[in-house]
Amino acid sequence: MICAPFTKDKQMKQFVFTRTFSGIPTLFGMTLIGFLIIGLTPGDPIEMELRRLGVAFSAEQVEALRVEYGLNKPLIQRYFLWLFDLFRLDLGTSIASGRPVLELFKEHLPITATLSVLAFMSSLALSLGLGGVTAVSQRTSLSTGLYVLTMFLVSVPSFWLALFLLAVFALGLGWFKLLQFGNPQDLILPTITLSLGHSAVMSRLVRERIIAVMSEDYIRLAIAKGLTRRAILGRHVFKSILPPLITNWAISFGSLLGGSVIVENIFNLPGLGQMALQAIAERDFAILQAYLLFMGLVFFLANFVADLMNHWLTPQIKKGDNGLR
Amino acid sequence: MVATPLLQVENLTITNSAQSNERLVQGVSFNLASGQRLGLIGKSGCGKSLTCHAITGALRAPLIPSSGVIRFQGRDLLTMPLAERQKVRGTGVFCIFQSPGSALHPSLTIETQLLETTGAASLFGEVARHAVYQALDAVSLPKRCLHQYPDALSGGMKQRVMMAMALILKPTILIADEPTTGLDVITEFETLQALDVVQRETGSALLFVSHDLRIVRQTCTSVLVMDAGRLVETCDLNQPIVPSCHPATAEITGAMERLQL
Repeated sequence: MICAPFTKDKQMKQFVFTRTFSGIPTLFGMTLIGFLIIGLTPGDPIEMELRRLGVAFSAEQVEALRVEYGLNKPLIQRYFLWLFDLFRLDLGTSIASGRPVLELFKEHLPITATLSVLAFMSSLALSLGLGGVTAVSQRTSLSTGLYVLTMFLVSVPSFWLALFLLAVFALGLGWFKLLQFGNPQDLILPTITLSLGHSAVMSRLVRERIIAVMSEDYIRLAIAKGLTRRAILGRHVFKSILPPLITNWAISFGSLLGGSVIVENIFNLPGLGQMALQAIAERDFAILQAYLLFMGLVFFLANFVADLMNHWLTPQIKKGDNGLR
Repeated sequence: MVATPLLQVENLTITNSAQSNERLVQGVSFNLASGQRLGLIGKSGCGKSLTCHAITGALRAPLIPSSGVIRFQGRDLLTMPLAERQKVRGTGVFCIFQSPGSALHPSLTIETQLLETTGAASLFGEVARHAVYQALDAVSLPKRCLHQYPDALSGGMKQRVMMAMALILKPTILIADEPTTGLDVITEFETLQALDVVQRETGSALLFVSHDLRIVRQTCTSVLVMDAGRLVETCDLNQPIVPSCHPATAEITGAMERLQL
């Protein structure tokens, strides 16, 4: 009764098809630009690695290693070789550790994925709650208090928040262990750090949306019809605030992943972010390139899912609707 | 013994609390008896809609009814607790707002929006469904509309969906706030006919708001004239409007004569 049955099956298939095929060139373009930028960055990975290991080396040895890793070829050629390998699901080998990149990913991904998903879920719930309360209780001291709190959380950088939480809950109260990873509860403080800032930003959006929707004519009609407050907020308002929020959430999921780089480093979590940061320092091309591809895929998928959900939620904007006009 | 009027508006003043309590509607008083069809006319921005919103409880902050009383069946709506007020909404007082284009929720089907209305009128299950079909029939909308979203319907059809809601709710008082805004003359005629059906079937008292004396004449027996937030005159529409009337009334009738309506 509430949700219309999904009847535009054909249209949906077409939508999925066009989105997938328009996404592929975007991803390729992104990997190419990324490859060029990384490739043109000063600093030779072989020399850096050898220096780091503290071995004496000759120019010939360096050259031999460059040939071994394929670094002697022109940049564009290297890109196409990388692409070719990609189709065989071979992401190359890390120069610094000598291990296959795919293996390193499998090792570091679970922590980052868990952290991001947890932070995303908690910031969803928190932002809907905070936004809802501040929108409904406008012009009260509660709303003002929450406004100040969210402004504070929006303005504070995540590294500060991380250090603050560590100082209070790990050092002060001793509830958590300091800079150690091994148990699931070690993810609690990083999750809070990552989600607080995000939910503050998102709750502002939720609040604006609710206030905007509340002044729509159809909400006025819903009130005049004598619907309960619950039906008005739960059905009419909620359904209207969702579409733009979903798009925002999709983008914020991507930036949560990106933001986890800092948090992972502060909390010493062996996740993808830490791996990527180290790879930047070591000019470890293969890892960086894979990380870039991964981030691109995540952004693409998140936006794809968001569009799909919006498509489903706002049936009235489907093209070619056979109306009664 | 004098019977209490259905709706008594006394000295209603609406102010904008955000702008140094600027008065937008000032000291408006009128009565509406059961079964009466009362018009409310005035230029755009004179406070007609605000008066309606105050009665239905749809005034938006920072606009507030700062003084006065709105008695519905003897009870003041403005001081009533929210839970009680909500019971009055819908079946007690229902309002068809202007601009049908934006008055229906864009992403809920007509069926959902009509069925939730039956809940407010304490109809459930099969009885509710039956009431929806009956209402659709009365305003001559085809059943297939039910599975459509508002933007698949024309303006006139949307307005008839609102009329169907009124038929389901059977309100004691029906307020129509410029229900024909943005509709062409033919659709306007159809809408007014549908409104007539609704009023006959439900026996509601009607408060018909418009800036168009011509359609008020077709619908109502007497009319209130508002100007700049005040109620300036009450005219009996069965008698010609006298030349000694208020300038605001004269302006409206004068405009009509010039347009030869």
